[in-house]
Amino acid sequence: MTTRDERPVTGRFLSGFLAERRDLLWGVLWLAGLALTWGWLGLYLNAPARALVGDACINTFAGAFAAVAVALVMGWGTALFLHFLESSRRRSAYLAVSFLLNLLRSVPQIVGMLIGYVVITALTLNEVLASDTSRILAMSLLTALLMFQEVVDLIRERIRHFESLEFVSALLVCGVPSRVIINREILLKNSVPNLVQKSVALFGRAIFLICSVDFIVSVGLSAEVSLSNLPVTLGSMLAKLDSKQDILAIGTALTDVRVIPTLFVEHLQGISVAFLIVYTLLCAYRVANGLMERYRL
Amino acid sequence: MRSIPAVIFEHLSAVIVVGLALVVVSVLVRRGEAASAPRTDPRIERYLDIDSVDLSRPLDRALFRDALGVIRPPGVSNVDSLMRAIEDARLARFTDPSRKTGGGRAVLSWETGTAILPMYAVFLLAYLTVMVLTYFAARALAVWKFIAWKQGRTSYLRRYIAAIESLGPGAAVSRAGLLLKSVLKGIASLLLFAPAYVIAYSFRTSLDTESILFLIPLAVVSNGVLVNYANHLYALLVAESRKGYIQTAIVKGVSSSYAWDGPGAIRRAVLLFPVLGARNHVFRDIYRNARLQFIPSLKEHAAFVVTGIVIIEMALNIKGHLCYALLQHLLFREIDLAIAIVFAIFFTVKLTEAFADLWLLFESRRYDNPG
Amino acid sequence: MTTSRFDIRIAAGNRLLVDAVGFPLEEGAITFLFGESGIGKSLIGKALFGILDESEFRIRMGAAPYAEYRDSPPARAARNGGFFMFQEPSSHLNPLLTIEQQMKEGTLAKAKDPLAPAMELWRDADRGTLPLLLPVYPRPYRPSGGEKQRILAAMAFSKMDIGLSGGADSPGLFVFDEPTGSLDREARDRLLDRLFARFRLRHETILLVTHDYGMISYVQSRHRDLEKSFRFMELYVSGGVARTREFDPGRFLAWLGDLRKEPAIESGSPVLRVEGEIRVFGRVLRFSKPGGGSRTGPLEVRPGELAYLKAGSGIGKTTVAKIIVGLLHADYFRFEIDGVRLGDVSPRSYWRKRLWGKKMTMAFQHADEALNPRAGVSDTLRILGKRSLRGAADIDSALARLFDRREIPELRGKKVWQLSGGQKQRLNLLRAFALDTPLIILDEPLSALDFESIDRVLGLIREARADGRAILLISHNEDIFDRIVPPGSVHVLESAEPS
Repeated sequence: MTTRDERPVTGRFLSGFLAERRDLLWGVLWLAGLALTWGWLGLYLNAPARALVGDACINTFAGAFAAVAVALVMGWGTALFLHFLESSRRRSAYLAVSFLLNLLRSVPQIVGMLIGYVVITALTLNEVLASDTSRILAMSLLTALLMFQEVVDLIRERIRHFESLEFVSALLVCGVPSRVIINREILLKNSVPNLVQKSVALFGRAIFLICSVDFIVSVGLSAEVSLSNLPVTLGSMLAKLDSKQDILAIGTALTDVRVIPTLFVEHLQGISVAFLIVYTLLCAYRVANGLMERYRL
Repeated sequence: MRSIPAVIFEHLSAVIVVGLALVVVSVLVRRGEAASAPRTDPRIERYLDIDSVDLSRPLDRALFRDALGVIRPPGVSNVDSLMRAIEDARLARFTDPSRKTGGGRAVLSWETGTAILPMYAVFLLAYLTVMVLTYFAARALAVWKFIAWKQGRTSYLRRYIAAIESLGPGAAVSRAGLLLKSVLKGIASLLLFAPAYVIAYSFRTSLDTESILFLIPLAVVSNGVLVNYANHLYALLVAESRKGYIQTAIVKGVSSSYAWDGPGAIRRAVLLFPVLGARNHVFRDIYRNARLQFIPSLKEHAAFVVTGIVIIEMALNIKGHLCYALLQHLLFREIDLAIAIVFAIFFTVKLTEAFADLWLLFESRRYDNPG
Repeated sequence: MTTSRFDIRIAAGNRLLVDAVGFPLEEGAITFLFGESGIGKSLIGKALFGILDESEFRIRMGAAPYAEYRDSPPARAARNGGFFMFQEPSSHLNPLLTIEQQMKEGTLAKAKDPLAPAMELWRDADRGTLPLLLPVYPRPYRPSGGEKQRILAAMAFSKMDIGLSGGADSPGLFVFDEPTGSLDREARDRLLDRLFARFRLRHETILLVTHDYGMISYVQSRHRDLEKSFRFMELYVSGGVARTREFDPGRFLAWLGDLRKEPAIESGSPVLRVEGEIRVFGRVLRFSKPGGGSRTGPLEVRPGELAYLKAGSGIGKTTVAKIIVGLLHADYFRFEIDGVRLGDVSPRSYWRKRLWGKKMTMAFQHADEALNPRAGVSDTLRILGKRSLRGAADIDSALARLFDRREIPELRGKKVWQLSGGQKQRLNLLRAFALDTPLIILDEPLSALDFESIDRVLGLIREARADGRAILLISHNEDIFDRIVPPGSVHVLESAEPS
């Protein structure tokens, strides 16, 4: 559509921004929330505990980020492989790979994580995973393994959608190779917002899974796992006795309002860790949702 | 379109394949453990279970050493090295985690298997209840959100910012009200996204968090389950409402008013009964088309609900529940039993997937063309 | 008759799309709104009818906000008594209601016989198909696009019949948005005849939005008695914004009158020779010559020839084209291209390796779908990998074949989704012509174009023929191509049950 710029007829700057760029707004709010929390911790939390919360934050976010990156690469590769099998009429191989993917999809992610953690624990105790970085990468790989099918589904759905639109046929009859059509024309030119939206949603999911499984492992398998062997994350931080007592204080605050002000000063470690988890999950959801609305995905 | 036998075959084959794979894993783990387990020297085995001897007492120790010297087992030249081997073996037994619960590691047998069954029944009951409650709650939430969107209602935060920007006189009270509502809504949102263990620990001092009556509502509202499920249906409703056939229905005079009152208005009953509550309203067509696409998401949702229940049972250490038992079996390396529970959970998800596929099949067939 | 004049401004985000000043809509008259596709004709129709989505666009009707116009009593009355027939028939039928249920939905149930108008839109010989369609849930290929369009038109006529029988107090507004896009000429003419027949009985306000300029010659020759009720408007783009102006139908008629049969320049052995029978989807497709009776034969296209394949809507012209280019599998077919014989048993990889972009190419019917919306205009040509299309100057000279040189610098920097429907169609055609294939298949090459662009496309076809390239043409624009293509190059496609 041919257009020209025009000042908005109605609407004001901030509320207009809120309506049209909710993804960016929530991204900024997330960063602002993290900064504010860090500033608050600087004022009221002792230095060793603050350093621990910082490490937990970095490990969790880095782990989740790596998990998303690995899931994207795995998903992209698997989707292209499946497409190749389907288009080259290798039906048996296609069915076998699809069957395996469906199996993986049916395993509840937390159960998969838990089983994977048993393996990671064994590897840690045997010193195969010797450094924190290798353990975080192993956690990320495991998380990615349980999430990448969503990327496969998305990419396959995009390819199918565009193949039904005739522009793929039109490019084919012009002699353009299919690999160029799929990778460049469909995925890079037409699917980046979809992939970004999926990545943000997966980032939230990865945080949730890593924190949950770390919490469970720390609470339920602590006899088996020496916490000092696994990198500290927000989930394992929350499972620490003092953090748990901080969270329990919220319940007390429900019946005794005088406790409320102390929550943000005296119970800061547990409260801030819980807040960081929940707030990140909320923001990831809002950003993903905002992207979905903005690009009508 | 797939046939009923094809759907059943697909899911049944998956269950069989996974079942066989888990049996193989179980056998391999057992063999591996047997191969790697420290073998007790047969020459000292009979001396390990003499409860009346306490080797930490010097007298017992001296008497025991003398006795060994008298009845020296064949092939043993040095009594001291035999003594040390016995002490090491007794210590190893003492520190073995499986011994801590008294007795050895449990394996899958008729007794242990039937002990899992009541736990599985409770798990299944909780799971089904959560699935049904989430379905209806998410549906109501999605319909409410959709109608609010159609009514042109914007978020409190947006209205608050717009109110600040307008800088109208005498609007301070209304601005404060909007801010308060915005904050309350923010807290409610945080609650919906909070992992179950955060909520549960927050309420642990005032509620019995180990009760199933706490577990079910917690599984519905926490872990983002409800909000994600509702949002999926909402997105489908929005997408359908923008389709051409809805525009055509509107120009045909089918009611499209989303006001709660007035001629052609939508009834509040639509929140609970989206089809019956929207008779002669275009929303009925929107909902029916969206629902058809919503059914397959039941499969994804099943895995999420299971994840939620697993997290709750494990994180809260609810004794006597299936997932707590799974954690215990993993802890004490009772791999057989852990595998049996994992299989039961997988089977539950597969059952739900088969149900969703069959439901979609039956629904789609209602709109099959003759011939 | 009163004429209301509307100042319509429609913007999306910060971009002004339409600025129609003083657009006249005369009560009880038929207003034709011509113009290229995708520049905002539908938006004007929807704005006037009061159904434009305010969550997507910012709309002004004069000085007042849109809601004020939409909720005003005259607009309400016009809407309640009228109907909007949308374009793209495939997406405007509910997949979960049968055709019959949809024809009786809402206020249409008030009509004495809501199904009767549909019978008028089918040929006598084909009326038996309508009862078979009534219990059908709409699917992508059933009913066909043409059938769906007639069903939607029947709904509009049904609403008109309610007015005729006294069921509506005041005349309504009836907007027909590209109502004949999926119809062959015969079906189009029947639809117009039935519409005007109703108009003669009761003068509703009608807005007919179309890019089919061929309608002008038809209504001027067959419905001359309504000349005083016809108004002709045109939407054009100026300074990046769509504006309206009055349109002189005489301009088009004069241009049409100047068209002459093009001399035959074909020579040599056929580039394409399709054997006289194709079996696909349980039907048999055959080729014949117009007026040749039941005699069937092969379809041949020689170098320099423009072969015109004609058939009614839904017979299978596009299907034949897709079979030839190897995108659709047929149960039986045989053809020869540039001396190579191929058939239903030939592997698809042969097309990929030897034919696509080398021996043949095809310009698809819907440019909207045939081009990558997120690709740049230059990229759309560059992706062909031709050495002659690498530099900016090469792209400019390629674009200049169908675009005004002045608009090229701006055009080059745009993405496809930012183009109008007509610009997309021209780019779609340019891409096909940019390849030096001996055979080009053109499926509805004139769709979405205004008649100045049509003139340029005809020039492009002429050039390609002069270069010795063979062109197989599929088009509903019989008004134009019947004047150009010599009878020897016209082929009729017929469909039959297998014997």
